[in-house]
Amino acid sequence: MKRWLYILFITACIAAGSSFIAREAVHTPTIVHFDIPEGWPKPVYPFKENPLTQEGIALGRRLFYDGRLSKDGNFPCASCHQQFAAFSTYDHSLSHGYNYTLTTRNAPALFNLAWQASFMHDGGINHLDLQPLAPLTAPNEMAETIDSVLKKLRADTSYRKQFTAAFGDATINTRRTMQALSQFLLTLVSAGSKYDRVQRGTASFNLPERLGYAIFRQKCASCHAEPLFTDFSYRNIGLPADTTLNDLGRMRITHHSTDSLKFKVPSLRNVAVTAPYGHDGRFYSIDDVLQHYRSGVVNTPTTDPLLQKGIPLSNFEIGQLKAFLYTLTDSAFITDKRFGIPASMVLPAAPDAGMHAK
Amino acid sequence: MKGLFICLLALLSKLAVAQNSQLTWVWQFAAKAADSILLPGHTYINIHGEQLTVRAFKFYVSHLEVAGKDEVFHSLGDSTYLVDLADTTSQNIVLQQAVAQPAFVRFTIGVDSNKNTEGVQTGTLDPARGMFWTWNSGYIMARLEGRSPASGAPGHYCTYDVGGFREGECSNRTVTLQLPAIAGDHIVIAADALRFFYGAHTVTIAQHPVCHEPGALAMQLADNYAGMFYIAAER
Repeated sequence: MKRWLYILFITACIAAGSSFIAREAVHTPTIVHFDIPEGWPKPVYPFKENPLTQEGIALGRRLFYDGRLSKDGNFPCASCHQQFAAFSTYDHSLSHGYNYTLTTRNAPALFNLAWQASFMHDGGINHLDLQPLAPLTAPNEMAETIDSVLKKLRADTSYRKQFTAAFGDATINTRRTMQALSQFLLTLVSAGSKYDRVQRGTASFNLPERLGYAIFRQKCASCHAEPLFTDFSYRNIGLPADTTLNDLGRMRITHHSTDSLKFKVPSLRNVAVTAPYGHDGRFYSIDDVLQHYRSGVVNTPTTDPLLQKGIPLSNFEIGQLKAFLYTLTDSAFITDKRFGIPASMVLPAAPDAGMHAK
Repeated sequence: MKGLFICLLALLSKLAVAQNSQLTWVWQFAAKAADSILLPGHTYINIHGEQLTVRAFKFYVSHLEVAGKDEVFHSLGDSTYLVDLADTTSQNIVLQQAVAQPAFVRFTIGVDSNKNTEGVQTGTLDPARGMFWTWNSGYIMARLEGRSPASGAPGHYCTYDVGGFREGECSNRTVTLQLPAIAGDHIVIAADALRFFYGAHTVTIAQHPVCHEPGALAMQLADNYAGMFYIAAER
Protein backbone atom coordinates (compact mmCIF):
# COMPACT_ATOMS: atom_id res chain seq x y z
CA MET A 1 0.00 0.00 0.00
CA LYS A 2 2.87 2.37 0.92
CA ARG A 3 4.51 1.73 -2.42
CA TRP A 4 1.24 2.72 -4.14
CA LEU A 5 1.05 5.96 -2.28
CA TYR A 6 4.64 6.70 -3.32
CA ILE A 7 3.86 6.03 -7.00
CA LEU A 8 0.74 8.18 -6.76
CA PHE A 9 2.75 11.03 -5.29
CA ILE A 10 5.40 10.88 -8.04
CA THR A 11 2.69 10.75 -10.76
CA ALA A 12 0.93 13.76 -9.29
CA CYS A 13 4.21 15.68 -9.24
CA ILE A 14 4.89 14.88 -12.89
CA ALA A 15 1.35 15.84 -13.90
CA ALA A 16 1.52 19.15 -12.08
CA GLY A 17 4.97 19.90 -13.51
CA SER A 18 4.04 19.14 -17.09
CA SER A 19 0.86 21.19 -16.91
CA PHE A 20 2.93 24.08 -15.60
CA ILE A 21 5.36 23.72 -18.52
CA ALA A 22 2.43 23.50 -20.96
CA ARG A 23 0.98 26.71 -19.60
CA GLU A 24 4.31 28.40 -20.07
CA ALA A 25 4.56 27.17 -23.67
CA VAL A 26 1.10 28.42 -24.70
CA HIS A 27 1.47 32.13 -24.87
CA THR A 28 -1.78 33.88 -23.97
CA PRO A 29 -2.68 36.68 -26.37
CA THR A 30 -2.12 40.22 -25.17
CA ILE A 31 -5.39 42.06 -24.68
CA VAL A 32 -5.66 45.44 -26.41
CA HIS A 33 -7.96 48.04 -24.91
CA PHE A 34 -10.29 49.74 -27.37
CA ASP A 35 -10.23 53.49 -26.73
CA ILE A 36 -13.45 55.40 -27.29
CA PRO A 37 -12.70 58.98 -28.36
CA GLU A 38 -14.01 61.57 -25.94
CA GLY A 39 -17.64 62.46 -26.48
CA TRP A 40 -18.31 59.59 -28.88
CA PRO A 41 -21.19 57.16 -28.43
CA LYS A 42 -20.68 53.56 -27.29
CA PRO A 43 -19.50 51.22 -30.06
CA VAL A 44 -22.03 48.67 -31.31
CA TYR A 45 -19.51 45.90 -32.09
CA PRO A 46 -19.77 43.01 -29.56
CA PHE A 47 -16.17 43.12 -28.30
CA LYS A 48 -16.96 40.56 -25.61
CA GLU A 49 -17.28 37.85 -28.25
CA ASN A 50 -14.11 38.89 -30.04
CA PRO A 51 -11.80 40.76 -27.69
CA LEU A 52 -8.99 42.66 -29.38
CA THR A 53 -5.54 41.20 -28.93
CA GLN A 54 -2.18 42.18 -30.35
CA GLU A 55 -1.92 38.77 -32.00
CA GLY A 56 -5.45 38.90 -33.45
CA ILE A 57 -4.93 42.39 -34.85
CA ALA A 58 -1.60 41.40 -36.41
CA LEU A 59 -3.23 38.36 -38.02
CA GLY A 60 -6.12 40.45 -39.32
CA ARG A 61 -3.72 43.00 -40.75
CA ARG A 62 -1.84 40.28 -42.61
CA LEU A 63 -5.09 38.83 -43.97
CA PHE A 64 -6.19 42.29 -45.10
CA TYR A 65 -3.07 42.68 -47.21
CA ASP A 66 -2.81 39.05 -48.41
CA GLY A 67 -3.71 38.48 -52.06
CA ARG A 68 -4.28 34.79 -51.34
CA LEU A 69 -7.72 35.70 -50.10
CA SER A 70 -8.60 36.21 -53.79
CA LYS A 71 -8.88 33.61 -56.55
CA ASP A 72 -5.80 34.64 -58.56
CA GLY A 73 -3.83 36.20 -55.72
CA ASN A 74 -4.11 39.71 -57.12
CA PHE A 75 -6.95 41.14 -55.08
CA PRO A 76 -6.37 41.47 -51.36
CA CYS A 77 -8.87 43.55 -49.40
CA ALA A 78 -6.32 46.34 -49.67
CA SER A 79 -6.56 46.45 -53.47
CA CYS A 80 -9.87 48.31 -53.18
CA HIS A 81 -9.30 49.75 -49.71
CA GLN A 82 -6.15 51.84 -49.90
CA GLN A 83 -4.87 53.50 -46.75
CA PHE A 84 -3.88 56.77 -48.43
CA ALA A 85 -7.51 57.10 -49.60
CA ALA A 86 -8.83 56.41 -46.07
CA PHE A 87 -9.29 52.80 -47.24
CA SER A 88 -11.47 53.61 -50.25
CA THR A 89 -10.29 53.11 -53.85
CA TYR A 90 -8.30 56.15 -54.97
CA ASP A 91 -9.64 57.89 -58.09
CA HIS A 92 -11.98 55.06 -59.08
CA SER A 93 -15.73 55.40 -59.37
CA LEU A 94 -15.93 51.60 -59.45
CA SER A 95 -13.15 49.24 -58.42
CA HIS A 96 -11.37 46.50 -60.35
CA GLY A 97 -12.07 42.87 -59.52
CA TYR A 98 -10.97 39.43 -60.63
CA ASN A 99 -10.65 38.75 -64.37
CA TYR A 100 -10.97 42.35 -65.60
CA THR A 101 -14.34 42.84 -63.93
CA LEU A 102 -15.64 46.00 -62.35
CA THR A 103 -17.63 46.35 -59.19
CA THR A 104 -21.08 47.97 -59.36
CA ARG A 105 -20.59 50.35 -56.45
CA ASN A 106 -17.95 52.74 -55.17
CA ALA A 107 -15.72 51.10 -52.54
CA PRO A 108 -16.57 52.74 -49.21
CA ALA A 109 -13.85 54.17 -46.99
CA LEU A 110 -13.13 52.04 -43.90
CA PHE A 111 -12.86 53.62 -40.48
CA ASN A 112 -14.81 53.85 -37.22
CA LEU A 113 -16.42 50.49 -38.05
CA ALA A 114 -17.02 49.65 -34.38
CA TRP A 115 -19.88 52.16 -34.45
CA GLN A 116 -21.49 50.74 -37.58
CA ALA A 117 -24.29 48.17 -37.21
CA SER A 118 -24.79 47.25 -40.87
CA PHE A 119 -22.53 47.26 -43.87
CA MET A 120 -22.49 47.92 -47.62
CA HIS A 121 -24.26 50.87 -49.27
CA ASP A 122 -27.57 49.01 -48.88
CA GLY A 123 -26.94 47.79 -45.32
CA GLY A 124 -27.47 44.18 -46.37
CA ILE A 125 -24.80 42.78 -44.03
CA ASN A 126 -25.69 42.75 -40.37
CA HIS A 127 -22.36 42.04 -38.63
CA LEU A 128 -18.80 43.24 -39.18
CA ASP A 129 -17.51 39.64 -38.93
CA LEU A 130 -19.71 38.64 -41.88
CA GLN A 131 -18.77 41.61 -44.06
CA PRO A 132 -15.53 40.34 -45.66
CA LEU A 133 -17.32 37.20 -46.93
CA ALA A 134 -19.21 39.30 -49.49
CA PRO A 135 -16.25 40.74 -51.44
CA LEU A 136 -14.34 37.48 -50.90
CA THR A 137 -16.97 35.42 -52.73
CA ALA A 138 -18.27 38.00 -55.22
CA PRO A 139 -17.24 36.97 -58.77
CA ASN A 140 -16.45 40.60 -59.67
CA GLU A 141 -14.31 41.16 -56.61
CA MET A 142 -12.05 38.54 -55.03
CA ALA A 143 -13.96 35.65 -56.69
CA GLU A 144 -12.86 33.03 -54.15
CA THR A 145 -14.67 30.41 -52.12
CA ILE A 146 -14.40 30.32 -48.35
CA ASP A 147 -13.17 26.70 -48.41
CA SER A 148 -10.40 27.50 -50.85
CA VAL A 149 -9.16 30.43 -48.78
CA LEU A 150 -9.17 28.28 -45.63
CA LYS A 151 -7.18 25.59 -47.47
CA LYS A 152 -4.55 28.12 -48.52
CA LEU A 153 -4.26 29.47 -44.98
CA ARG A 154 -4.08 26.00 -43.41
CA ALA A 155 -1.28 25.02 -45.75
CA ASP A 156 0.87 27.91 -44.52
CA THR A 157 2.90 27.15 -41.39
CA SER A 158 3.30 30.79 -40.51
CA TYR A 159 -0.49 31.30 -40.59
CA ARG A 160 -0.95 28.25 -38.34
CA LYS A 161 1.47 29.88 -35.89
CA GLN A 162 -0.39 33.18 -36.04
CA PHE A 163 -3.79 31.56 -35.51
CA THR A 164 -2.36 29.68 -32.53
CA ALA A 165 -0.97 32.90 -31.09
CA ALA A 166 -4.29 34.71 -31.57
CA PHE A 167 -6.79 31.99 -30.66
CA GLY A 168 -4.93 29.41 -28.58
CA ASP A 169 -4.71 26.58 -31.12
CA ALA A 170 -4.01 26.06 -34.80
CA THR A 171 -7.65 25.63 -35.88
CA ILE A 172 -8.25 27.79 -38.94
CA ASN A 173 -11.94 28.23 -39.71
CA THR A 174 -14.29 30.84 -41.14
CA ARG A 175 -15.15 32.35 -37.79
CA ARG A 176 -11.57 32.87 -36.64
CA THR A 177 -10.46 34.23 -40.00
CA MET A 178 -13.29 36.75 -40.01
CA GLN A 179 -12.84 37.63 -36.34
CA ALA A 180 -9.16 38.36 -36.96
CA LEU A 181 -10.05 40.60 -39.89
CA SER A 182 -12.60 42.37 -37.70
CA GLN A 183 -9.98 42.92 -35.00
CA PHE A 184 -7.73 44.74 -37.46
CA LEU A 185 -10.62 46.67 -39.02
CA LEU A 186 -11.86 47.77 -35.59
CA THR A 187 -8.52 49.41 -34.87
CA LEU A 188 -9.02 51.71 -37.88
CA VAL A 189 -10.32 54.58 -35.78
CA SER A 190 -10.16 58.01 -37.36
CA ALA A 191 -10.57 60.67 -34.68
CA GLY A 192 -7.48 62.82 -35.17
CA SER A 193 -8.48 65.43 -37.75
CA LYS A 194 -8.15 69.17 -37.28
CA TYR A 195 -11.88 69.19 -36.54
CA ASP A 196 -11.24 66.77 -33.63
CA ARG A 197 -8.38 68.89 -32.33
CA VAL A 198 -10.65 71.93 -32.42
CA GLN A 199 -13.28 70.01 -30.45
CA ARG A 200 -10.65 69.09 -27.86
CA GLY A 201 -9.49 72.69 -27.67
CA THR A 202 -5.97 72.04 -28.98
CA ALA A 203 -6.46 73.85 -32.29
CA SER A 204 -8.75 76.50 -33.70
CA PHE A 205 -10.52 76.97 -37.03
CA ASN A 206 -9.48 79.81 -39.30
CA LEU A 207 -12.23 82.11 -40.56
CA PRO A 208 -13.39 80.14 -43.64
CA GLU A 209 -13.36 76.90 -41.64
CA ARG A 210 -15.41 78.46 -38.88
CA LEU A 211 -17.94 79.90 -41.32
CA GLY A 212 -18.04 76.58 -43.14
CA TYR A 213 -18.69 74.72 -39.88
CA ALA A 214 -21.69 76.97 -39.22
CA ILE A 215 -23.04 76.26 -42.73
CA PHE A 216 -22.41 72.54 -42.22
CA ARG A 217 -24.37 72.51 -38.98
CA GLN A 218 -27.22 74.36 -40.59
CA LYS A 219 -27.46 72.52 -43.91
CA CYS A 220 -25.70 69.12 -43.71
CA ALA A 221 -25.62 67.90 -40.10
CA SER A 222 -29.16 66.50 -40.03
CA CYS A 223 -27.87 63.48 -41.99
CA HIS A 224 -24.09 63.76 -41.52
CA ALA A 225 -24.42 63.94 -37.74
CA GLU A 226 -21.39 64.59 -35.54
CA PRO A 227 -19.19 63.10 -34.26
CA LEU A 228 -19.27 60.23 -36.78
CA PHE A 229 -20.57 62.51 -39.55
CA THR A 230 -23.34 60.07 -40.48
CA ASP A 231 -26.58 59.04 -38.82
CA PHE A 232 -26.35 55.63 -40.60
CA SER A 233 -29.80 56.13 -42.15
CA TYR A 234 -30.70 55.20 -45.73
CA ARG A 235 -31.79 58.05 -47.97
CA ASN A 236 -32.51 58.84 -51.58
CA ILE A 237 -30.58 62.03 -52.26
CA GLY A 238 -32.30 62.51 -55.60
CA LEU A 239 -30.00 60.42 -57.77
CA PRO A 240 -31.82 58.66 -60.61
CA ALA A 241 -30.64 55.07 -61.10
CA ASP A 242 -27.85 54.60 -63.62
CA THR A 243 -29.51 52.53 -66.36
CA THR A 244 -26.45 50.29 -66.79
CA LEU A 245 -26.41 49.40 -63.09
CA ASN A 246 -30.11 49.63 -62.13
CA ASP A 247 -29.15 49.72 -58.48
CA LEU A 248 -32.22 50.10 -56.28
CA GLY A 249 -30.13 50.31 -53.10
CA ARG A 250 -31.82 49.51 -49.83
CA MET A 251 -34.89 48.13 -51.62
CA ARG A 252 -32.78 45.21 -52.79
CA ILE A 253 -32.54 44.14 -49.15
CA THR A 254 -35.94 45.09 -47.69
CA HIS A 255 -38.09 44.69 -50.85
CA HIS A 256 -40.06 47.74 -49.72
CA SER A 257 -40.80 50.14 -52.56
CA THR A 258 -40.42 52.97 -50.04
CA ASP A 259 -36.71 52.05 -49.86
CA SER A 260 -36.16 52.40 -53.59
CA LEU A 261 -32.94 54.27 -54.50
CA LYS A 262 -31.98 54.73 -50.85
CA PHE A 263 -28.35 54.28 -49.82
CA LYS A 264 -26.56 54.59 -46.51
CA VAL A 265 -25.44 58.11 -45.57
CA PRO A 266 -21.63 57.96 -45.75
CA SER A 267 -19.41 59.58 -43.14
CA LEU A 268 -17.82 62.87 -44.20
CA ARG A 269 -14.67 62.16 -42.24
CA ASN A 270 -11.67 62.10 -44.61
CA VAL A 271 -13.99 63.23 -47.41
CA ALA A 272 -11.21 65.13 -49.16
CA VAL A 273 -9.29 61.91 -49.87
CA THR A 274 -12.16 59.57 -50.74
CA ALA A 275 -13.21 60.88 -54.20
CA PRO A 276 -15.13 59.91 -56.27
CA TYR A 277 -18.44 60.22 -54.40
CA GLY A 278 -21.90 58.70 -54.43
CA HIS A 279 -22.80 55.00 -54.18
CA ASP A 280 -21.72 54.49 -57.80
CA GLY A 281 -18.96 57.09 -57.71
CA ARG A 282 -20.68 59.34 -60.25
CA PHE A 283 -19.37 62.55 -58.67
CA TYR A 284 -15.69 63.14 -59.25
CA SER A 285 -15.23 66.05 -56.88
CA ILE A 286 -16.75 67.64 -53.80
CA ASP A 287 -17.81 70.49 -56.13
CA ASP A 288 -19.83 68.02 -58.21
CA VAL A 289 -21.59 66.76 -55.07
CA LEU A 290 -22.44 70.25 -53.85
CA GLN A 291 -23.62 71.23 -57.32
CA HIS A 292 -25.96 68.23 -57.20
CA TYR A 293 -27.41 69.30 -53.86
CA ARG A 294 -27.78 72.86 -55.14
CA SER A 295 -29.46 72.14 -58.47
CA GLY A 296 -29.38 68.46 -59.45
CA VAL A 297 -31.79 66.72 -57.06
CA VAL A 298 -34.34 64.67 -58.99
CA ASN A 299 -37.65 64.27 -57.20
CA THR A 300 -39.11 60.77 -57.16
CA PRO A 301 -41.53 59.34 -54.59
CA THR A 302 -38.65 58.33 -52.31
CA THR A 303 -36.48 61.44 -52.59
CA ASP A 304 -35.61 62.56 -49.07
CA PRO A 305 -38.01 65.24 -47.78
CA LEU A 306 -35.02 67.30 -46.61
CA LEU A 307 -33.72 67.47 -50.17
CA GLN A 308 -36.80 67.81 -52.34
CA LYS A 309 -36.07 71.50 -52.89
CA GLY A 310 -32.32 70.93 -52.97
CA ILE A 311 -29.93 72.68 -50.58
CA PRO A 312 -29.57 76.37 -51.32
CA LEU A 313 -25.83 77.13 -51.41
CA SER A 314 -24.12 80.22 -52.79
CA ASN A 315 -20.71 79.98 -54.41
CA PHE A 316 -19.33 81.76 -51.37
CA GLU A 317 -20.94 79.25 -49.01
CA ILE A 318 -19.53 76.37 -51.04
CA GLY A 319 -16.06 77.81 -50.58
CA GLN A 320 -16.50 78.05 -46.82
CA LEU A 321 -18.10 74.62 -46.59
CA LYS A 322 -15.19 73.03 -48.43
CA ALA A 323 -12.74 74.75 -46.11
CA PHE A 324 -14.54 73.05 -43.23
CA LEU A 325 -14.75 69.66 -44.96
CA TYR A 326 -10.98 69.70 -45.47
CA THR A 327 -10.56 69.88 -41.68
CA LEU A 328 -12.08 66.38 -41.51
CA THR A 329 -8.99 64.82 -43.11
CA ASP A 330 -7.13 62.74 -40.53
CA SER A 331 -3.61 62.75 -41.95
CA ALA A 332 -2.26 60.75 -39.02
CA PHE A 333 -4.81 58.00 -39.78
CA ILE A 334 -4.00 57.73 -43.49
CA THR A 335 -0.26 57.50 -42.79
CA ASP A 336 -0.31 55.45 -39.58
CA LYS A 337 2.21 52.64 -40.03
CA ARG A 338 0.15 50.28 -37.82
CA PHE A 339 -2.54 50.23 -40.50
CA GLY A 340 -0.23 49.87 -43.49
CA ILE A 341 1.06 46.73 -45.18
CA PRO A 342 3.30 44.68 -42.84
CA ALA A 343 6.99 45.21 -43.65
CA SER A 344 7.42 41.56 -44.69
CA MET A 345 4.67 41.69 -47.35
CA VAL A 346 4.45 43.03 -50.90
CA LEU A 347 1.13 44.22 -52.29
CA PRO A 348 0.30 42.39 -55.52
CA ALA A 349 -0.22 44.58 -58.56
CA ALA A 350 -3.57 44.19 -60.30
CA PRO A 351 -3.14 42.32 -63.61
CA ASP A 352 -4.46 45.36 -65.48
CA ALA A 353 -2.15 47.74 -63.63
CA GLY A 354 -0.26 48.26 -66.90
CA MET A 355 -3.38 49.73 -68.46
CA HIS A 356 -3.06 52.69 -66.12
CA ALA A 357 0.63 53.35 -66.84
CA LYS A 358 1.53 55.22 -69.97
CA MET B 1 -3.81 -2.80 -4.10
CA LYS B 2 -6.54 -5.23 -5.05
CA GLY B 3 -9.08 -2.88 -3.42
CA LEU B 4 -7.99 -0.03 -5.65
CA PHE B 5 -8.46 -2.14 -8.78
CA ILE B 6 -11.92 -3.15 -7.70
CA CYS B 7 -12.83 0.48 -7.04
CA LEU B 8 -11.60 1.45 -10.49
CA LEU B 9 -13.56 -1.37 -12.14
CA ALA B 10 -16.72 -0.42 -10.26
CA LEU B 11 -16.33 3.19 -11.36
CA LEU B 12 -15.84 2.24 -15.03
CA SER B 13 -18.82 -0.08 -15.10
CA LYS B 14 -20.99 2.58 -13.46
CA LEU B 15 -20.00 5.04 -16.20
CA ALA B 16 -20.93 2.52 -18.88
CA VAL B 17 -24.33 1.93 -17.30
CA ALA B 18 -24.97 5.67 -17.08
CA GLN B 19 -24.32 6.01 -20.79
CA ASN B 20 -26.62 3.13 -21.66
CA SER B 21 -29.52 4.33 -19.52
CA GLN B 22 -29.93 7.30 -21.91
CA LEU B 23 -31.29 5.50 -24.97
CA THR B 24 -30.20 6.79 -28.33
CA TRP B 25 -32.83 7.62 -30.88
CA VAL B 26 -32.17 8.06 -34.59
CA TRP B 27 -34.07 10.39 -36.85
CA GLN B 28 -33.36 9.42 -40.42
CA PHE B 29 -34.33 11.91 -43.10
CA ALA B 30 -35.08 10.14 -46.38
CA ALA B 31 -35.18 12.24 -49.55
CA LYS B 32 -38.10 11.36 -51.78
CA ALA B 33 -39.66 12.46 -55.06
CA ALA B 34 -43.31 11.56 -54.55
CA ASP B 35 -43.12 7.79 -53.83
CA SER B 36 -39.66 7.24 -55.29
CA ILE B 37 -36.33 7.54 -53.54
CA LEU B 38 -34.73 10.83 -54.62
CA LEU B 39 -31.32 10.29 -56.21
CA PRO B 40 -29.00 12.97 -57.55
CA GLY B 41 -28.84 13.00 -61.34
CA HIS B 42 -32.16 11.22 -61.73
CA THR B 43 -35.17 12.77 -63.43
CA TYR B 44 -38.57 13.13 -61.83
CA ILE B 45 -41.86 14.70 -62.91
CA ASN B 46 -43.64 17.21 -60.67
CA ILE B 47 -47.38 17.60 -60.21
CA HIS B 48 -47.50 20.07 -63.12
CA GLY B 49 -45.98 17.52 -65.51
CA GLU B 50 -42.60 19.30 -65.54
CA GLN B 51 -39.40 17.23 -65.67
CA LEU B 52 -36.77 17.90 -63.02
CA THR B 53 -33.28 16.42 -62.82
CA VAL B 54 -32.10 17.01 -59.26
CA ARG B 55 -28.53 18.08 -58.52
CA ALA B 56 -28.81 19.25 -54.92
CA PHE B 57 -31.36 18.97 -52.14
CA LYS B 58 -30.53 20.13 -48.64
CA PHE B 59 -32.16 21.87 -45.71
CA TYR B 60 -31.53 22.96 -42.16
CA VAL B 61 -33.50 21.48 -39.27
CA SER B 62 -33.45 22.92 -35.77
CA HIS B 63 -35.48 23.06 -32.55
CA LEU B 64 -36.00 19.30 -32.50
CA GLU B 65 -38.64 18.30 -29.96
CA VAL B 66 -40.55 15.21 -28.85
CA ALA B 67 -43.81 14.66 -26.96
CA GLY B 68 -45.63 11.69 -25.51
CA LYS B 69 -49.37 11.20 -25.72
CA ASP B 70 -49.78 14.17 -23.35
CA GLU B 71 -48.51 16.43 -26.21
CA VAL B 72 -46.09 18.19 -23.88
CA PHE B 73 -43.02 18.82 -26.01
CA HIS B 74 -39.49 18.38 -24.71
CA SER B 75 -36.45 19.89 -26.39
CA LEU B 76 -33.88 17.54 -27.91
CA GLY B 77 -31.08 20.08 -27.77
CA ASP B 78 -29.98 23.35 -29.36
CA SER B 79 -28.18 21.90 -32.38
CA THR B 80 -28.93 22.84 -35.94
CA TYR B 81 -28.51 20.07 -38.49
CA LEU B 82 -27.88 20.33 -42.22
CA VAL B 83 -29.56 17.44 -44.01
CA ASP B 84 -27.96 16.92 -47.42
CA LEU B 85 -29.01 14.50 -50.16
CA ALA B 86 -25.35 14.11 -51.15
CA ASP B 87 -24.17 13.16 -47.65
CA THR B 88 -25.68 10.02 -46.09
CA THR B 89 -24.18 10.74 -42.67
CA SER B 90 -26.02 14.06 -42.53
CA GLN B 91 -29.33 12.26 -43.01
CA ASN B 92 -29.07 10.39 -39.71
CA ILE B 93 -29.45 12.49 -36.60
CA VAL B 94 -28.56 10.66 -33.42
CA LEU B 95 -30.39 11.97 -30.36
CA GLN B 96 -30.97 11.02 -26.74
CA GLN B 97 -34.49 9.72 -26.15
CA ALA B 98 -36.30 12.23 -23.91
CA VAL B 99 -39.68 10.53 -23.31
CA ALA B 100 -40.47 6.87 -22.78
CA GLN B 101 -43.18 6.56 -25.41
CA PRO B 102 -42.80 9.22 -28.08
CA ALA B 103 -46.04 10.04 -29.87
CA PHE B 104 -45.18 13.29 -31.66
CA VAL B 105 -42.07 14.95 -33.08
CA ARG B 106 -41.75 18.61 -33.89
CA PHE B 107 -38.95 20.54 -35.59
CA THR B 108 -38.25 23.74 -37.48
CA ILE B 109 -37.11 23.63 -41.06
CA GLY B 110 -34.73 26.57 -40.98
CA VAL B 111 -32.23 28.35 -38.74
CA ASP B 112 -33.12 30.34 -35.63
CA SER B 113 -33.24 34.09 -36.36
CA ASN B 114 -30.57 34.80 -33.72
CA LYS B 115 -28.07 32.67 -35.61
CA ASN B 116 -28.69 34.89 -38.64
CA THR B 117 -27.55 38.02 -36.83
CA GLU B 118 -24.75 36.96 -34.48
CA GLY B 119 -21.78 36.97 -36.82
CA VAL B 120 -19.93 33.96 -38.17
CA GLN B 121 -21.13 30.59 -36.84
CA THR B 122 -19.24 27.28 -36.87
CA GLY B 123 -20.05 23.62 -37.57
CA THR B 124 -23.10 23.01 -39.75
CA LEU B 125 -23.77 26.75 -39.71
CA ASP B 126 -20.33 27.72 -41.02
CA PRO B 127 -20.94 30.02 -44.03
CA ALA B 128 -18.35 27.86 -45.83
CA ARG B 129 -21.09 25.21 -46.11
CA GLY B 130 -22.51 27.38 -48.88
CA MET B 131 -25.93 27.82 -47.27
CA PHE B 132 -25.44 31.49 -46.43
CA TRP B 133 -26.10 34.68 -48.37
CA THR B 134 -23.07 36.90 -47.93
CA TRP B 135 -24.54 40.03 -49.61
CA ASN B 136 -27.78 40.00 -47.61
CA SER B 137 -26.84 38.31 -44.33
CA GLY B 138 -28.89 35.25 -43.62
CA TYR B 139 -29.07 31.51 -44.05
CA ILE B 140 -30.47 29.62 -47.00
CA MET B 141 -32.90 27.44 -45.07
CA ALA B 142 -33.53 24.98 -47.89
CA ARG B 143 -32.14 24.39 -51.37
CA LEU B 144 -33.44 22.42 -54.34
CA GLU B 145 -31.37 22.65 -57.50
CA GLY B 146 -31.43 20.93 -60.83
CA ARG B 147 -32.26 21.31 -64.49
CA SER B 148 -35.59 21.20 -66.23
CA PRO B 149 -36.69 21.56 -69.86
CA ALA B 150 -39.52 23.68 -68.45
CA SER B 151 -37.05 26.26 -67.10
CA GLY B 152 -36.43 29.36 -69.20
CA ALA B 153 -33.43 30.31 -67.06
CA PRO B 154 -29.95 30.05 -68.65
CA GLY B 155 -28.90 26.42 -69.06
CA HIS B 156 -32.45 25.35 -68.19
CA TYR B 157 -31.38 25.45 -64.57
CA CYS B 158 -33.92 25.71 -61.84
CA THR B 159 -32.50 26.76 -58.50
CA TYR B 160 -34.52 27.34 -55.37
CA ASP B 161 -32.59 28.90 -52.51
CA VAL B 162 -35.17 29.63 -49.85
CA GLY B 163 -34.31 31.89 -46.92
CA GLY B 164 -35.25 34.98 -44.98
CA PHE B 165 -35.51 35.47 -41.23
CA ARG B 166 -36.81 39.02 -40.85
CA GLU B 167 -40.38 39.78 -39.87
CA GLY B 168 -42.68 39.47 -42.86
CA GLU B 169 -40.07 37.43 -44.75
CA CYS B 170 -39.40 34.63 -42.29
CA SER B 171 -39.07 31.33 -44.10
CA ASN B 172 -38.72 29.15 -40.99
CA ARG B 173 -41.58 26.67 -40.73
CA THR B 174 -42.52 24.40 -37.86
CA VAL B 175 -43.41 20.81 -38.67
CA THR B 176 -45.28 18.47 -36.32
CA LEU B 177 -45.61 14.78 -37.12
CA GLN B 178 -47.50 12.04 -35.34
CA LEU B 179 -45.58 8.83 -34.77
CA PRO B 180 -47.03 5.36 -35.23
CA ALA B 181 -47.96 3.41 -32.08
CA ILE B 182 -44.68 1.52 -32.03
CA ALA B 183 -42.08 4.01 -33.20
CA GLY B 184 -38.98 2.20 -32.06
CA ASP B 185 -35.50 3.69 -31.71
CA HIS B 186 -35.21 4.64 -35.36
CA ILE B 187 -37.77 6.78 -37.14
CA VAL B 188 -37.70 7.60 -40.83
CA ILE B 189 -38.87 11.09 -41.81
CA ALA B 190 -39.48 11.25 -45.54
CA ALA B 191 -38.94 14.60 -47.30
CA ASP B 192 -40.70 14.79 -50.66
CA ALA B 193 -38.78 17.35 -52.74
CA LEU B 194 -41.59 17.62 -55.29
CA ARG B 195 -43.69 19.32 -52.61
CA PHE B 196 -41.78 22.53 -53.40
CA PHE B 197 -44.22 22.93 -56.30
CA TYR B 198 -47.62 22.46 -54.69
CA GLY B 199 -49.47 22.58 -51.39
CA ALA B 200 -50.42 26.01 -50.10
CA HIS B 201 -49.32 27.60 -53.39
CA THR B 202 -48.94 26.52 -57.00
CA VAL B 203 -45.35 27.05 -58.13
CA THR B 204 -44.35 25.96 -61.61
CA ILE B 205 -40.79 25.67 -62.88
CA ALA B 206 -41.90 27.45 -66.07
CA GLN B 207 -43.08 30.50 -64.18
CA HIS B 208 -40.55 30.50 -61.33
CA PRO B 209 -37.32 28.71 -62.29
CA VAL B 210 -35.23 30.66 -59.75
CA CYS B 211 -35.48 31.84 -56.17
CA HIS B 212 -32.32 33.48 -54.85
CA GLU B 213 -33.45 35.85 -52.14
CA PRO B 214 -35.88 36.24 -49.28
CA GLY B 215 -39.31 37.52 -50.20
CA ALA B 216 -42.72 36.49 -51.49
CA LEU B 217 -41.62 33.51 -53.61
CA ALA B 218 -39.37 32.18 -50.83
CA MET B 219 -42.32 32.38 -48.43
CA GLN B 220 -44.54 30.45 -50.84
CA LEU B 221 -41.92 27.75 -51.35
CA ALA B 222 -41.48 27.48 -47.57
CA ASP B 223 -45.24 27.13 -47.08
CA ASN B 224 -45.20 24.34 -49.64
CA TYR B 225 -42.23 22.35 -48.39
CA ALA B 226 -43.41 22.62 -44.78
CA GLY B 227 -45.81 19.91 -45.94
CA MET B 228 -43.18 17.66 -47.51
CA PHE B 229 -42.47 15.59 -44.39
CA TYR B 230 -44.16 12.41 -43.28
CA ILE B 231 -43.22 9.40 -41.19
CA ALA B 232 -42.25 6.57 -43.52
CA ALA B 233 -42.77 2.94 -42.66
CA GLU B 234 -39.40 1.56 -43.70
CA ARG B 235 -35.83 2.81 -43.79
